[in-house]
Amino acid sequence: MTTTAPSSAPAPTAGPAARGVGVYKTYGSGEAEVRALDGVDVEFAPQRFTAIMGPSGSGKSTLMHCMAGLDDVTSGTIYLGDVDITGLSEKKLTMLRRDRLGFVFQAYNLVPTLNAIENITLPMALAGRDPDQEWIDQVVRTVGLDDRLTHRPSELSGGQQQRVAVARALASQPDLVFADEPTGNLDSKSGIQVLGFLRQAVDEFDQTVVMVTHDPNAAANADRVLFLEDGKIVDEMSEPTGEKVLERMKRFGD
Amino acid sequence: MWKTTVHGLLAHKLRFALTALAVFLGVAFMAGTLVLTDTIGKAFDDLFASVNEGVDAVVREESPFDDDFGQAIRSPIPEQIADELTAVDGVESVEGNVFGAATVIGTPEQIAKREKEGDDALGRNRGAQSPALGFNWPVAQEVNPLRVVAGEAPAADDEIVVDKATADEEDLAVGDDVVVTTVAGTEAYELVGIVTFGTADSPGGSSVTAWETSAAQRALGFDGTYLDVRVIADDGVSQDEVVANISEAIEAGEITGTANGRDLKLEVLTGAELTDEDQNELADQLGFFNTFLLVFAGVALFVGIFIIYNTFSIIVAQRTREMALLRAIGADRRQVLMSVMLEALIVGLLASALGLGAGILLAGVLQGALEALGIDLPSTSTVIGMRTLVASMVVGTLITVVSAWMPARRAAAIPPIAALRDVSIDTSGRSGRRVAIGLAIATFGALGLFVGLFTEIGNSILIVGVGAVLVFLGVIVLGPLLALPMSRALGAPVRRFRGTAGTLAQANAMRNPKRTSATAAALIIGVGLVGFITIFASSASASIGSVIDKAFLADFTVDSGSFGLSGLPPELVDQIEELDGVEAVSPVRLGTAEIEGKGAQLSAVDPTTINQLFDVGVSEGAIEGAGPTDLFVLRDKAEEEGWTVGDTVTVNFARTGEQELAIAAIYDEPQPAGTYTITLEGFEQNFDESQQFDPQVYVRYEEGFDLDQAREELEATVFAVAPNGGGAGPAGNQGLDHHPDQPAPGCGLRPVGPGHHHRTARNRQLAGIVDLRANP
Ligand SMILES: Nc1ncnc2c1ncn2[C@@H]1O[C@H](COP(=O)(O)OP(=O)(O)OP(=O)(O)O)[C@@H](O)[C@H]1O
Ligand SMILES: [Mg+2]
Repeated sequence: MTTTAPSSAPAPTAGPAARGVGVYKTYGSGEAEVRALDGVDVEFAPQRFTAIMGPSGSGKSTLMHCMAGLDDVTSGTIYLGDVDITGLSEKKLTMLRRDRLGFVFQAYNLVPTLNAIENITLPMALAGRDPDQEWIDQVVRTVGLDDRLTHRPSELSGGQQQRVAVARALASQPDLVFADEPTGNLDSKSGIQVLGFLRQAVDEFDQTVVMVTHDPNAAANADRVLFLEDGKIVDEMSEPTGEKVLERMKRFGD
Repeated sequence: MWKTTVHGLLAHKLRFALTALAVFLGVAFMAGTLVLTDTIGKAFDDLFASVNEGVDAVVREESPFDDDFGQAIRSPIPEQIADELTAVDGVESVEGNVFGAATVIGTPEQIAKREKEGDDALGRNRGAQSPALGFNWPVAQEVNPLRVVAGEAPAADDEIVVDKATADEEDLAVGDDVVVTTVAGTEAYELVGIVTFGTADSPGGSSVTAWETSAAQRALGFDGTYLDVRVIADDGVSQDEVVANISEAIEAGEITGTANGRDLKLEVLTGAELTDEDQNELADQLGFFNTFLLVFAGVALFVGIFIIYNTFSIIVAQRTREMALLRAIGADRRQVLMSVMLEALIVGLLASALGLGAGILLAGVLQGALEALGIDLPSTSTVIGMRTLVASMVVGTLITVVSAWMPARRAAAIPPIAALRDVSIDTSGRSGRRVAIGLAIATFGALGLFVGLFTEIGNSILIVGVGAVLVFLGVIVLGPLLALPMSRALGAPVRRFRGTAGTLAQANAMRNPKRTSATAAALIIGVGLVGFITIFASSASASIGSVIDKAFLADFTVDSGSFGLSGLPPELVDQIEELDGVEAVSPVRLGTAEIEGKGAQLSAVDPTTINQLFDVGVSEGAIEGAGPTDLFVLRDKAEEEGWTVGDTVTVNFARTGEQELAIAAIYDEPQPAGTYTITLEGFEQNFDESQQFDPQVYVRYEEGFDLDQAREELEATVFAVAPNGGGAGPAGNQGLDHHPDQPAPGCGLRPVGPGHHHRTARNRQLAGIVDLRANP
């Protein structure tokens, strides 16, 4: 099944892990037209942790979906590594998603009929790969799900479901992880754990993480913060701290 | 993928059960039918094999023609042929064989008691509910399927033996006087023995009466004749050898027979051939029965296709987000497709397996139902053939998987992004192409219905069937279009009364018209099916009802019941004639002859009274005053053949050969006399004594005569002549012996043909025996 080499062979140094060039995304047409992305140029450097911030409706989720090849762009080009995914066949795109990407959705993340551990290992099951048990154990421990593994999503709290989703995105050790508000539903303690874990994925396991968040302190864990407003990247910040990010956010809408 | 599918199934047990139900029912019906027919087939095959076990050769008349069901028609052969056969080389002994209907009524005391208790007690009489067979008792025990278990074999004219089942059920003991009705009349005999049929208490639930051969010939209407002669060969002489010897003797003119002034053409066959013939004949009859039941299975499976399609469409719609999520985390289209197909496969396999199990049980129930209808079947172990197993599993599973294919394709086309948004709005509610296709299909269907119902082009039943299916499909295609305005119209009052909940419900129904109509389609199909069955049933009884109402002028019908296997003794008509107040009476007698090269059923009526009893709408010529060489023909047939009154038609009777009959009248109403009718006198001349019995007798009373009194007197008369409400006359083909020379009207496993029009009457009769139907 697997035609692409698994995550053990990333080629991170060659260039950005993901890149968007002149990306436009509009929904609807005529009067009802919404410009969710309005000419975005963005690069995500490999083995870096990027946070995306912006007001509600600014296009953060849309950007993530387009970058991950889950949705098509209206115009512009998306590269994953050096592959242009805007021209890729559905099949190749699926392969790419399966082998190189992890995604944590903002909402509705889990297959309701499978229990937590089955959800976590599902991407590997779909790819026909054997999960790396040690890694899975570590992921599960970090997100604090040891005693909840055989529960169905309906038997888990919103935060627990979110943690399962994060664990699933990381379980197959993808090159690139997109996480849409992974800590949105978490208390601050488990939020910190999840963020620490994403950090660890970047520092120790050479993964690239892109995360959407509304929380300045969460963003402070990242190497870089991008600010999005009305579908445009309006600012960015390196080595963010909670205060600096909060400062910048106050200026939104000005 | 396995896991998601299996878990998904387990998580939605109700949905699973509903999908499975349709397949389950269809497969159950199919498996039940196959098991039942296999079982019946095997039971009769075994029976024939054992009945014919000791027979090495059979001599009989070569059939001049087949009846309209393809059954060979023959005349009895003179008994001297048996003597001539004894002289042939290799023949050890011969046995004349006769066979007919003989109904055991009970002891005179039992009859008196029943008469006091009224009709209902009679209805429980065994003889009235299952074929009642009369045999002769062969001298050579090799060819005798009957075994004495108590008392002794019948030896004198007034002695009989009966089967153990009947003896037990009717409480008969050796030494009792027992009244038996045959074509020769109702008489009391001394019961000298109780017999079994092989090892069974009775042959397939039929009652059996047997006489010493010459007594049987008299009782069953074979004076000086046999149906056929069975030959037992010398030891060491094979069946083929003895058959060859007999054939030579026939060719050399050493064995000849004449009947009614005609030389009979004889044929001889081996015992093995006889068994084959019996088995094939039954297979043909079962084939019809099989088809009939399989049509029902087919309808169930056809409906199943829609239900499965709909259920899976709904499943896919409901699980759009789940499928999209799978796609987003790396499932490819094929995997999503396979997950739906896998679900279908599991549903199909499970439902088929359960259906198969239920079908095997159903076969038992069907068998019971047939028995309740009076079609008693030999008891044997249930036969579950490989064919049944394979066909049930394959058909059930295939139908499920194939029906799920389209919805599965749709599931596979769901984009990953659908996981993140609500289902996109479906626009099929306004699709122009859908309108065109739906209208085209429905129009074609309606056209088919019209052509099939109101014109006479081609095979109308087939056209109507195809038309109905097309209309159905058309409505389903148009469903989503209708869903919008319908939801709006129906939703308005709901909204008024149910407030917010109503508004939400209506908006939901309108939001996805395809889903709404898919759900509705399942209901349409269900309601349609119920409607179809109801209409079918009521039109069947309506057509019977209208026959009775329209054509009948008689006040009462005496129906022999027993599926037309037997009839009332002719003496009944004479006795009814004598009753006070009777104005007119006529029997309807039935027989088969060859007309224009085809076996056809003939009715016979009394031409002097028939116009007073029913109005067949004579439009040319006259029935009154007609004689034995006259023929009356239905208008449709006359037009088809270009016949007019005065033309002569050649009719080939098994007994008398080709006769020229003149068309004396042409009539419009096919009921109740059928296509061809002759006079009673003509029937008596041209048909054997063993066929002179009356399935029905029609009686008309004088104007103003008290009908209650009339009924009472009629009942008493009928009871005296035929205490079970019939029973005289040949028993038709129960397939127990080859006796196809008796054109008995119908047979247990045959389609309900002419002579079966009084179904309503008969149904009551099975419960109450003699139905005297008062016409308003
Ligand atoms: N399917 C759609 N059809 C029409 N408009 C859409 C659709 N999806 C998103 N939008 C619009 O696109 C814009 C960007 O949406 P997006 O979900 O990317 O915002 P966001 O930045 O993730 O907001 P939040 O922080 O609230 O999650 C919004 O104005 C939204 O209304
Ligand atoms: Mg968002």
